[in-house]
Amino acid sequence: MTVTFDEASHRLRVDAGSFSALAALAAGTTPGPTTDELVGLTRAGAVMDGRPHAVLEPALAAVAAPLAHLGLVVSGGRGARLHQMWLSVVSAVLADVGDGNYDLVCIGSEFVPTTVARLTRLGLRPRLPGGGPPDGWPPDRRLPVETGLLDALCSTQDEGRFDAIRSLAARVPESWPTLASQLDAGEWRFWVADVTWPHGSRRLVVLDTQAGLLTPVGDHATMLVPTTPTDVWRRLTSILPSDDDLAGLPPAPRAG
Amino acid sequence: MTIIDAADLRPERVAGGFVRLSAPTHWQTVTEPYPGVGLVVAEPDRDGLFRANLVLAVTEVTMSFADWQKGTDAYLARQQRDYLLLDLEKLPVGGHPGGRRLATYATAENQSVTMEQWTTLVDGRGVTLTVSTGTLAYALHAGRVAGIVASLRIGAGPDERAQRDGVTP
Repeated sequence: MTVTFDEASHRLRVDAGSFSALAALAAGTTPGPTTDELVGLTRAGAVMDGRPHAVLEPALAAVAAPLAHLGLVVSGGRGARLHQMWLSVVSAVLADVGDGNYDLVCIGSEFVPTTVARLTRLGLRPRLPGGGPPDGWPPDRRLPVETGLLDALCSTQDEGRFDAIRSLAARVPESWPTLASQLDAGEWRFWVADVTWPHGSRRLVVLDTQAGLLTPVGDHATMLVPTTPTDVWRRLTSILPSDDDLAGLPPAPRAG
Repeated sequence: MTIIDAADLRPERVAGGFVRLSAPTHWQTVTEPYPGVGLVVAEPDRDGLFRANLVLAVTEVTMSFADWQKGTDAYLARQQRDYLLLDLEKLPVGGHPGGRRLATYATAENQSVTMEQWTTLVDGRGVTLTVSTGTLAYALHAGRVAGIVASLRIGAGPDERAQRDGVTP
């Protein structure tokens, strides 16, 4: 069991079981924490007088009653991590630190794109030569994929990810030699951000290498095509549900 | 898709016409901006939400474009809280070789801002156009910002040419 709480920074590091126990305690749901869990949380200072510490309450309130949920899988040659965010007036971030433990922090919801960018290390990348609308993507400027392959890239099983990336590397057109070498060397990151709310969802998928960024296009994500950090950021800043989305209304025309 | 109506933009001239661009008609010009800043135009008040704005600065630059921009990168990283540089690219700006920078940071009021900046160096004068929006409004402003950037013209305009030639325009 891991529970480390820093009252000054409001940062809590917990294992999955302790986090579930704390969330259940905050929400008043059953089963609540076991005695051992309660002792561990209390000893760390995350629980006081049988209640979560006051500085944790905003994050735990978002976990208990979110307007939307964001799941972020970030995988690569060295493993896969699942980060979660519960979105409300403020948002709770449960960041997977990779050793079976998680950091719980509370952020203003307008910082969700920044948090995703930091967790995925979005930043400066070269541009892969590509095409795009209205002319489409020529065969030597795209990577054909199928949904199963993209799912396998997120697998928590090393062999599943490695098979998928080998399969993908074999499809890289000759016009992108640096991309092929990056994939062969295991220097890649693949991430999927899924935002869901009661009446809808949005998804952003990115294959990130030092040769450039790619993203799926097509109704059934049938190919990966070049994209840019700017385009990824633009989509990331639009991924949260609007007030109309949350009300289940059709999308409103956007003002310029 | 965002549709930009040309009537939504108004012409602005900075540094005696050395820089010409269009600004959103309903945005408000800030009088007496900081020294060295030629133009500040901001979205009307939005009940405490971050007001999108454009800032245009023309400064004397005695170093190369690359060195100037390296210094700018270091300055922004040092000055802005929670600063994250997202994209850099070389592209023409106002008809001259230049670059574009995309970054996000947090204001002193803990608002998340996305900043897009276009820079170029012409005749020893560094021109920087910065458009800042609330991060969650970045995509909403994309069309308008594209219109502003497309309107940017840099170089001796009619005023400067007339002054140089001693002719009243």
